Amino acid sequence: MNKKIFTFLLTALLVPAMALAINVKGTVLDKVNEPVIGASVQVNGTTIGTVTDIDGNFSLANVPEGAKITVSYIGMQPQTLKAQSTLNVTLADDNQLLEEVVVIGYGAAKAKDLTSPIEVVKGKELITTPTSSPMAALQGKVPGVNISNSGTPGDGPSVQIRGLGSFGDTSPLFVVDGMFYDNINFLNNADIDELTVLKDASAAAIYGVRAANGVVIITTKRGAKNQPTKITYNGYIGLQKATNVLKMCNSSEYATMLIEADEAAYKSTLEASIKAFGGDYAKRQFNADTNWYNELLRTAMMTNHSLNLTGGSERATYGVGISYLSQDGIMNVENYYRRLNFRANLDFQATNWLKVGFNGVFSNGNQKVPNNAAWQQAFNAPSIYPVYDERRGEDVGPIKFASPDQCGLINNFYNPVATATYYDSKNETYQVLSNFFAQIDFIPSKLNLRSSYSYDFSLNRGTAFTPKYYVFNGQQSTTTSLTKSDSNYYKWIFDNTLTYNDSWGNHNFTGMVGVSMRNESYRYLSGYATNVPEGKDEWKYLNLGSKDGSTVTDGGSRYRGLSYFTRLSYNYAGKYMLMGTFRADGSSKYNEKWGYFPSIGAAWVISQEEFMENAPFDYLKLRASWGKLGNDKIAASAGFANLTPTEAVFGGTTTIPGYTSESNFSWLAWEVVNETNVGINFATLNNRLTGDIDWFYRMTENAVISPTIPMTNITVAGNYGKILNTGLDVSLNWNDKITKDFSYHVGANLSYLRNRVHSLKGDLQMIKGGRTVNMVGEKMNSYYGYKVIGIYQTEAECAADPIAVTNGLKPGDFIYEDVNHDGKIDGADKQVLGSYVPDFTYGFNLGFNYKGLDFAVSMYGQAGGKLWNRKRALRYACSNYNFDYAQYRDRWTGAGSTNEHPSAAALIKTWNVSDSNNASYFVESANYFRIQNITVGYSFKDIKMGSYTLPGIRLSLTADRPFTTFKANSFTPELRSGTEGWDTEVYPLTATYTFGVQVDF
Amino acid sequence: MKFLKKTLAYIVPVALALGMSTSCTKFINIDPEDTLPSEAMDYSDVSYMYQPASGIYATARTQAAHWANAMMMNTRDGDVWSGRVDDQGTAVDFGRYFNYNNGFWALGNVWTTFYNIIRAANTALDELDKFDEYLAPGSDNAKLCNQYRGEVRTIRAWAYYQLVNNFGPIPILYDTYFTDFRRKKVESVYNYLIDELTWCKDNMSRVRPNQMPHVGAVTAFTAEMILAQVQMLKGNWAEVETLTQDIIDKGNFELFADYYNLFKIPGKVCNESLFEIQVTDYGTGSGKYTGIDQYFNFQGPSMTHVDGNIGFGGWNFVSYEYEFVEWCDARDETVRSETAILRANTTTRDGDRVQPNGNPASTQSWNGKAYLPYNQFTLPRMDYGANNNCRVLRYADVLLMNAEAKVRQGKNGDDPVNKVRARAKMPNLTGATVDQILDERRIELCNEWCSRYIDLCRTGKAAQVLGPKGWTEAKRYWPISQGHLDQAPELLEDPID
Repeated sequence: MNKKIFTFLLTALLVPAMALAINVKGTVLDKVNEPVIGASVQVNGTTIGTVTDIDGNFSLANVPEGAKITVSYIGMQPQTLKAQSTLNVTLADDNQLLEEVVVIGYGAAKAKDLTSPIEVVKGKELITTPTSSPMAALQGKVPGVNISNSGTPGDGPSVQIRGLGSFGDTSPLFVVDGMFYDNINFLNNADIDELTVLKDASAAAIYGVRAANGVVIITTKRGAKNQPTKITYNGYIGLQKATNVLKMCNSSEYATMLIEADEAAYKSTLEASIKAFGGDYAKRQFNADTNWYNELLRTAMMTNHSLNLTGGSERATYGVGISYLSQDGIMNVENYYRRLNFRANLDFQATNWLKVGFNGVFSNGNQKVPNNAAWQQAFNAPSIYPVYDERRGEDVGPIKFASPDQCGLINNFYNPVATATYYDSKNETYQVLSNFFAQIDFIPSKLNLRSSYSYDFSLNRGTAFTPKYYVFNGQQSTTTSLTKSDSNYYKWIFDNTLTYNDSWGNHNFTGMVGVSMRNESYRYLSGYATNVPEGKDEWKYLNLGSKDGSTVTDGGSRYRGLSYFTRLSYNYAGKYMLMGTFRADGSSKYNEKWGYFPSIGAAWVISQEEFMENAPFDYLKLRASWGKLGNDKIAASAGFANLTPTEAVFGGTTTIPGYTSESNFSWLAWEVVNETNVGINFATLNNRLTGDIDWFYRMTENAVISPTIPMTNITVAGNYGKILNTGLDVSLNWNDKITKDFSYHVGANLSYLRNRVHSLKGDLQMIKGGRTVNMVGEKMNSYYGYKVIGIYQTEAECAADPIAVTNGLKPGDFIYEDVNHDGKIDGADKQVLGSYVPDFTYGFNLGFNYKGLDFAVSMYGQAGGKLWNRKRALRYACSNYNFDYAQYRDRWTGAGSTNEHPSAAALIKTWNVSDSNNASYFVESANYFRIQNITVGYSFKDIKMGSYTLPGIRLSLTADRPFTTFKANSFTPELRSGTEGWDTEVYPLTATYTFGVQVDF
Repeated sequence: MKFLKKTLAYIVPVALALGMSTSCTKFINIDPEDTLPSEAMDYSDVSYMYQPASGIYATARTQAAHWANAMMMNTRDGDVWSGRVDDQGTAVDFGRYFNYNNGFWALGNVWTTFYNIIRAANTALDELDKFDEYLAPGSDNAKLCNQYRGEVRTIRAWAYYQLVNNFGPIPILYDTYFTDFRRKKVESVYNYLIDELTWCKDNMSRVRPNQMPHVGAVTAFTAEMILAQVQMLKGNWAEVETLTQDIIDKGNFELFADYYNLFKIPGKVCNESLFEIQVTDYGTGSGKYTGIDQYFNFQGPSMTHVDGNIGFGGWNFVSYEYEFVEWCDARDETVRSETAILRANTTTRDGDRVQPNGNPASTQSWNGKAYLPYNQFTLPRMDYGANNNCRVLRYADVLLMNAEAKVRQGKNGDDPVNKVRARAKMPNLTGATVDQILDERRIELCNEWCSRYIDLCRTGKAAQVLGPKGWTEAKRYWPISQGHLDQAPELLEDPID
């Protein structure tokens, strides 16, 4: 038996070498007789192979006579031909997506063999989008993946796959070349070869306890075997500009509002402005008329350059890259994000049974952080004082900013430009991802063992400096202060997998078993000192500040995981597929250590059946899957009572250490998502129309929620909740090539999501958070308050309503719904007022190629979500804040004027604006529609430059997010998930216009 | 065969690696970092024994002296209002119009902060029990443990006293694991407090707080004073007299001569203090600060120090009603009026100019008891009230209780009341009446822990004084906030004995 195998192997290896050799030359063309560039030409059973050049030509030497040659190219049906000296091949189009090899966890599979919805986004789709984080470029491209961007330079977007399945962190797991991450903001778009989104349980369950929020697998760019060195430069430079800038009241409109509201109370403020800066009270004309948003905004630059080099010989492939991104913020002070990335990888076939490889990414980011509080202040600050006032006294400085107290505005008022200016905060990030692997082929292309060790080190260094300044009492810093912090993450993962695949006739089988160990450590050290000298970055050391009163904070955590997993997949004749995975996960985070996560998926390629021969489908697959996924991105279990150190003062400057003990401690396990997915995948009309439709049902069990212990504000987390997400993901794409010069594509994707809190602890109906509530039967993170059902129009109406009488209401005030009809409005009348979770998200894209010209447009929108206009709602804290123009334009001005908007007087009244009432007036639709990206490019081929021929150059113009429409009184209704839809201190999103160049050397 | 051997040579180490990790479930049995389990505490070491008690003072500092508590509790008496119409308007509805919105966050905050002290005290007593297990009964250390228990229980009783005065029937949490949240009748709460405070009085040191090794820690006299306050609510005047007389005779307390500075840095933990919430800036002008959130800051007007035109100040909350200011002026109050009331467009004796409020509907007079002059700052630290303690229980109140108890029992209360008046540079009274003593309390204790409101309610004057503003007997106590009702619906049940 053993001898037989050995003989067989020996024969297989030696026979070709002994045969006679010939030279093979030829051309590969497509169906419209265009050369296929980069097609792989491989002599079967050998390592002899090449790729076609720019004219589709190839030549191979020393091809054994009688050998079979396979010509393949992505998107075309491969052909295998007998070797002959001239070999011209015409490749037919294939359904690209089906033949593609898709990365799945700990392995790869052909798309057509999948039993679950897996979306692949190619690096080239990301590279032209001017974003600092690759995930931001994915917005609208994948149904079921909801991405919300941040305008702050260097801040990545929040990402959710298939809804919110946890009361905690809902961001997916990112696996970059085998390493686990919470985000991929450290990568450059140009680093990415492919990005794979695992949406359902059958695909993601292989990642077990980390998979509940979905998994995104990223592979960085690598070379291919026998590929001549390919050098590509990609770059763009462009301008960013704020869009949808909110219109605020000018001084005259602001005065009108206050005079209508309560002239006696506010006259002095308005007159103070006129006294200080000039104007005419009777005419409501003010010389000071500052548009704070204009003062805070600017047009900013963004540029990205990347150089990539890939190639490969028979035994080794390599990829090397460098990229640099620089993005300035649109806030009119120094704020930016700069990032330099290096990347290198090498795969080496050391012997015919051993392959080793190394992969490394180094990323260095520098973020100068803007003070986003200035955005909220710019909304609140009235225009009646200027930005600067050079006449002010010597105590004002270092810059002569004007101050709100020059108009008698003291508490809660600021000079927003001063807020933005007197702020100096920087983050530096150094991150190294490295990965080593060895793969041993025991039986070539059948049985292999892969051992991989990934190590990630990242250092985030924060420096926040407050200068000494004085604007007025309410906005000053009497000493300088400096906070420095170092956060380190050390992570390693050691994976070992054994994979076996084989086929007998129509039976195809792949089996994989693996074990994975991982360790994640986090260390934090921070120091604070005052009186640190001002002026130079070189002086920003805690040592140079006051020793007295300086503080140090230290923190850290360490988690370990140990997992065993297996995947078995079977397919019969490409018709019936079955895949099962199982993962056992052990985690140090919880008292309950082990969790077990099974999944099963099945698919039936109906189009392969005989009875479908005449059906109008080129391809039709029905698939279904079920699985369990874990979420361990929740706080570690305390598991025991612990002591919190405190200090109390006993006379003078003496403090005595003390502690408090918390008797209520958490006893937690991970959350478990049970997911079922049913979908179809089809191609029709000569593979021109392809589509995926998937329905899913995701029930999160053991969701961790933190009910408040009665009588206190102390919360104790427990695995009490259930959350249900159901939905539908649809994507349809039409691709056609009319002539050899003209092809076009149109695509649409839509996802519908129904998110509900299914149950909380026992009979508990509601848990209140700081911003929103979670109520059984409602969407997660719903706003909660009084519902405005109209506006009191007349004195008679007020007199007739006991609620109005009790609360002294006047025409122009809100009528709240008395939910329990008890004739009074109190806490029992609050109700759910909507949530920022959208019901629908949708995207469209279309584009064409005509000769060298390419054009593409993509659009994106969402509907059904709400936002909390915290900018407006903050009026509870100060009634004479500025008003936005819509509040002025739409205000109630007399009986019959409006039944929705309050009067000017109402806006300064507690009844209408109190944060204990949370009127539904502040809840606004977060629906929006956006033209996401428009790109026009032109490619020049084979440019002769003396003796050198430049293979290709493409010039492009891109408008990213040029147009957005929405109703909310906001810069953007796109708010990151952590904000729970609170619109406050939001850095505006930008439209970015870039000019890009791609050069192939 | 050779191939297989070769293969095995690779399989074996890998299998070992796999096997190794298999046996290593130890690998995931690691302790969480940066957390101290309570079992790590060495309860046999007496030097740690004060830590649970010290923790209660820290809890009282962060919880009781929350700024919103002062905004809610001190503004119920008709003399003081929250001061601003443009911010926290619901507080104006509460204090000025007795229109209670049970959705108001600050209402829930009062309840939460005092129950946080009570819960922390319960677990601190559990911790002290653990130390006690190692102590010989009757030993000095066992007595010390009882003193510490007494400190915790006194502060806990004080928290209940605040709650029962503002909310009436309230649940009593007898120990850490007590979960019966049904409310107790007011009388039951009083009786519980009498038991608690009597134990404290009998087991604690009979010295002034500033004579304690932990300077400013509460003593038997603190417990005795709160006990007297409870007895006063019950109308047990003989008890009140006995208790207060004991403090007067045995306590060695004395009034701080300089009323103006009593509430400022020189008056910190003076001989008049029975309990105050202490803070420190460690004597440094910047950096570390152990303080009380925004308690002072929120009560601060905008001020300018005359030399150098330096500005400081706070949020402009908490104000005296104009009628109260007029009443003070009519009494010819001198230092007490100067100290308690900061009037707009005047300059304090320390040279700080009080700036007017831009909005005439808001206050034009502020709580001077929260004022710290510029020249008492540890510069350049200039946060309003920085480094000042929050005064809670004062000997002057003991004297006034003593006087009232005597007069109500037909005795002469002139001596104690005149001590208070003399310090305030007011002429002596002869044959002081209850009403005169109540007026004395109104000015002496204004803006201090809803003292005036308690007086109005216990004397039945509230209907007459506050009635015109909307007060009724039904509004004596606040409703329980909706948030707390949602968490513990049994709070809605009728109070039990």
